[in-house]
Amino acid sequence: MAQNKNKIKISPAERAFDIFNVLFMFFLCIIMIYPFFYVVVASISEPAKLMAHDGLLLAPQGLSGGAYSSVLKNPRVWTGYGNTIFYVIVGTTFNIIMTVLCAYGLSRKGLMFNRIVTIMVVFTMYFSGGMVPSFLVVRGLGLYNSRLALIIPGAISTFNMIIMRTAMAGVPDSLEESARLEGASHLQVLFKIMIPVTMPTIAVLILYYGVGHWNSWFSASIYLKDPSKYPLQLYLRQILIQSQMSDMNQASASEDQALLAETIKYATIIVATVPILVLYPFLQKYFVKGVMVGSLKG
Amino acid sequence: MSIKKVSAVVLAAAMLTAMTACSSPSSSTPPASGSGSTAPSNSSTAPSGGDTSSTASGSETSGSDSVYPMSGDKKLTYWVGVSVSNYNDNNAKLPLWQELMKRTGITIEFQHPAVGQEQENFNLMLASGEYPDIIESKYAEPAAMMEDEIIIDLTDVLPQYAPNLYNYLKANPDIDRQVKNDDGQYLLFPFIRPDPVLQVSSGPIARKDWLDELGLGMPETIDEWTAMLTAFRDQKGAEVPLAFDSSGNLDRLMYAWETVNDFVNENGKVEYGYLRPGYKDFLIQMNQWFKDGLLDNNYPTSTRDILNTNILTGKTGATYGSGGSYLGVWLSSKPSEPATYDLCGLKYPVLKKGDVNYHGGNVQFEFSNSNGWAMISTQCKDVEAAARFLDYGYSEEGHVLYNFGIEGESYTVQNGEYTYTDAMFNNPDGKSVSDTLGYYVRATGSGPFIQDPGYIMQYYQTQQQKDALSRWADQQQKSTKMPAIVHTTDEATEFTNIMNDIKTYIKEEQVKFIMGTRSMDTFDDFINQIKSMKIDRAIEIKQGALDRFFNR
Amino acid sequence: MSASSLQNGGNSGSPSPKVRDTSFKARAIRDLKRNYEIYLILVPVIVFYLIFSYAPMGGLAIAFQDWRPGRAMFGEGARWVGLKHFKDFFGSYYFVRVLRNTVTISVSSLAFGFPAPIILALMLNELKSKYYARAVQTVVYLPHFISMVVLCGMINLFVRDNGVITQVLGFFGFPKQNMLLNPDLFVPIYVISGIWSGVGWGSIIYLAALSGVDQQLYEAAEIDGAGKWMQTIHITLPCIVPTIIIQFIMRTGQILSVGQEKIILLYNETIYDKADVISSFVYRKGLLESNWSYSTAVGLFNSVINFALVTVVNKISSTVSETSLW
Repeated sequence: MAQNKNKIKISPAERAFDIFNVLFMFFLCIIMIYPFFYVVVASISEPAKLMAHDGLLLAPQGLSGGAYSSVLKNPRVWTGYGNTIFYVIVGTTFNIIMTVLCAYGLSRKGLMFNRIVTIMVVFTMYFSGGMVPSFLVVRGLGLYNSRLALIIPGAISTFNMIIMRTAMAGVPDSLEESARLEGASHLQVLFKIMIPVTMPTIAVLILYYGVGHWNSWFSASIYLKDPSKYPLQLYLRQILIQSQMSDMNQASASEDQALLAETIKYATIIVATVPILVLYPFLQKYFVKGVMVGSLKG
Repeated sequence: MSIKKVSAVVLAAAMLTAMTACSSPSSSTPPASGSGSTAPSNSSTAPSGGDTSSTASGSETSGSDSVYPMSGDKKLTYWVGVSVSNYNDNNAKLPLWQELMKRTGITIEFQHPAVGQEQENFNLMLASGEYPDIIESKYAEPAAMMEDEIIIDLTDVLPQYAPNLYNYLKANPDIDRQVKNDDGQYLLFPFIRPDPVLQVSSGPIARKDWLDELGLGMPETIDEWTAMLTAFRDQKGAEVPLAFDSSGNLDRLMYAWETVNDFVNENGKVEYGYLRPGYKDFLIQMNQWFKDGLLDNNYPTSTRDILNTNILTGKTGATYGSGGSYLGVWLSSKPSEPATYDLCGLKYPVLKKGDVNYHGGNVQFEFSNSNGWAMISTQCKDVEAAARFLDYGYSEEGHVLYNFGIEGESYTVQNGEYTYTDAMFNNPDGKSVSDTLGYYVRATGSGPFIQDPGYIMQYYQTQQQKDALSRWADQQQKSTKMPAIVHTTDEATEFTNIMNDIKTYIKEEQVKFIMGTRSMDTFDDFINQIKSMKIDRAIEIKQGALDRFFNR
Repeated sequence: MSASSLQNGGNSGSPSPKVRDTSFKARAIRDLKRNYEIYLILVPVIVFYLIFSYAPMGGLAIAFQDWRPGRAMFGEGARWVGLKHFKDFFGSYYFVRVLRNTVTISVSSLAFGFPAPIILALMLNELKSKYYARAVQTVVYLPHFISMVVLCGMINLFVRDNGVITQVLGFFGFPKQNMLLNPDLFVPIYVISGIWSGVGWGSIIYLAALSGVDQQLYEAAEIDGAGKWMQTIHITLPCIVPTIIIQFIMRTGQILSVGQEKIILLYNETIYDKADVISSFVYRKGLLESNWSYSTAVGLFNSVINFALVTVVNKISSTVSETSLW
């Protein structure tokens, strides 16, 4: 933050602005936080009282853990969690390997064909075959309804690759040259020098890819037909967007249970978001750094 | 093949048929070959509970039954919607299917479309080029699929491997010609509802206790409906007196204006319901109800969960639903207050007192032309196994299994009747009857078998449900329903493309008209727009197919 | 974004035509010999791009066919129909609508969503307490981390007839109706929720630019008696203008590409009129209605327009501001 340390003379207008600014920021924070707060509070409220309540919620309306026990008892939530973790770990690993390989290759200088490859790669950022042809390719490869369909087709995000390439191009040539003179192969250079040196950037990309896998649902909805392979987000979509939640609601037959449907959605949001919220404070600085890495020229 | 009919069941059905006074001509040909109305003499002919139960009975089995269980390690893949989606994610977990696999000796690996994305998943499955052995989906276009070589021609398969179905079709030419394409090739294994009581399943529902309290009686005309809804709103504090769980169900009220939300067959001439004159009046009335706060102003995005809540908490007094999973559920989950809480089925409303509803609840044929049909794909390696598996549903034992489940678990034989056990009706976890039964039978839904009227008379436990059934079936004699006509691939493509656009357009504009965001003055533009989207061509295609059907 | 970093001077185009001692072939062989290791490293990458980016481009052929599952795409069984699907689309009732909605949603997002993080960054920058500023930042970044599905799920819950936002607006006389049933509210909901989730995150880049402003400039200005407002106008803003311009260029290049994900999570057929965009239309036609060829044609149309836009915008920006995407 650029701060003006010199507090020489502050006009009343400036003072007024400062106060306004502080208050406005506070207000903004409330707007950012309140929806989360509301969801938490609603999720532990008694459904009937919640329904009867009108307007903003400041405290739970009665206390009930019914929604959570419904959500946590639901095997599909856990299946979804398991799948998502699989996609995040395996997918991100594969992403990083491919991205690093690509970035390393394209960051080397003096290669005749690198320019063509670069153009070929960058072109894909601006033009693609689209939804249906991509689907046809994936099914043609036999990846339809395979977990790999969520891992292989998106192996390289060209955007992320370029971030990586920039980082690698920024490594001083002398490091590589000295290693080469000692007879190191390119793979050795890559693993012994480039990867350690660019580790901060790689960390950022791990986060980018990881979050991407965590949030992804659309390709899963196209490429998977077997619900046992569904990631969490796709299942969330069924519950939150399509209101396909009866399997949560173990006995929608009764009045209470019909009402419970109300709070189950809130509880589901919490259950699905808590891991991110818990990790967020620890990861925040990497993300912030990621934006810098991604947006500013080296 | 001789499927035992149970006297009491038939009696009950007959009573109902009499009440509805509109038995369709072929209703007298239920899958009974041996005189249907004779009760099986108690123990000797009671169906054996499958091959495993060692009752001395079951000797009646015809020759074709002896092929079960098939030997060898038979495995098939089966595309079908998940049963009892409330609690289940794979049919292989359900007793019904486990029993089916055991009896037929065929292991089924299920492929279930995601609930709520059935159509999308079905389309993707077709596009994936990998077809399961058996495909059961209401989104299928069987004739076009055969042309595209996605499913096989069953003409030679049925006599050879599916004698039960084949014989049934031979005995029922009306159904027979609906499961064929124009060239006379057999396309599919149908879902058959031989009895008229099975062909009606849903209709208007209202709060009986409110009607009684308000002294309104059962409304029959639209004007009486208006009075009822107004009274619900003003005197019972109903926030949304009339609510639906989908806009499609609102469309059922169109019948009062002698039109429907689809194509109709007016004496051999195809018409599109939305172009019939009554449609505009329907919109005007719905708009009025909407303006007066009688119609749920969220109806286009409403869901079953919301409707459940509205009904059970007294926000809604009138709606539309089926007798089992709507009316039945709402009756059994009676809220604590008011103590008088009660529901009833209403007749489909008409405009003038004494009129008979144009379409009514009888939206199904004996042959269900949308649900429960199963096809064998061209990628099926073991056509015999697939055909035998599907044919089991039409066999004597299969009939009992699909309709009543497993003896001792879901039913017992009492006085010669297949009677569901108490466990089906009193689930300890509070599951509804439709869900509990869904574990054991397919009769509550649809599938490749012949539905037994005995199922519904037990499934509908309450008098309210049974009464509702008879009221819903009250409709004019003339059938305007389209039979199961088929399109060629090119026709199907063209037709679907035209109709997708038109349907989307109508759905959007209908909401605007009803909500008043589009003026009724522009109704003519609306009709013209539909015409410019080539509705005439779509009608032409339908007409051609209908003509071919009658010429088969 | 940093595609700009690919620009190492010179035009993008064919390799530089400097001809050295021998023929192309000889040079190529020499190059391959010397650098075979790197090329080997690149092989999986090239294969990846060929299969998952370029093969689908070949699949665009079905935009010019009547393709159905089970029918051949090339060779004998293919049924070529030329531009039929494009003509159908251009002549269709939905063409104007999806195009209009795409532009409306995109421009609205740009008009409101683009300045928001800049203003936030400027205001954050003016906070006197560093700790407060950091705390505020932590909070405003947070919404970025909830997934699209959860975001839209929350919107759905909050704006339905008994949702908290509907209820609060009800005090001001709004009807108690699911806001997503009102076509006119779709764009505001889309844009405002976008700002809510993205404004904090979007401000990071400007904050970074602001932190790079030379403090001496402010001191000098103060000595000259310039007030805060003047300082902002004359020092702060000019310093972040290049960042703003780059960001703006990139956004304008995407004016016709509104992603389908958020749209299809939020819309319903009642508000297609205002909510249906090209990508959601492609999705519905292709995956829901099985109109594969038509859907592909519409998608291709969109891709071509987008590509042309990016090219034009890039051309303009490289002449005007000397910043370029490639």
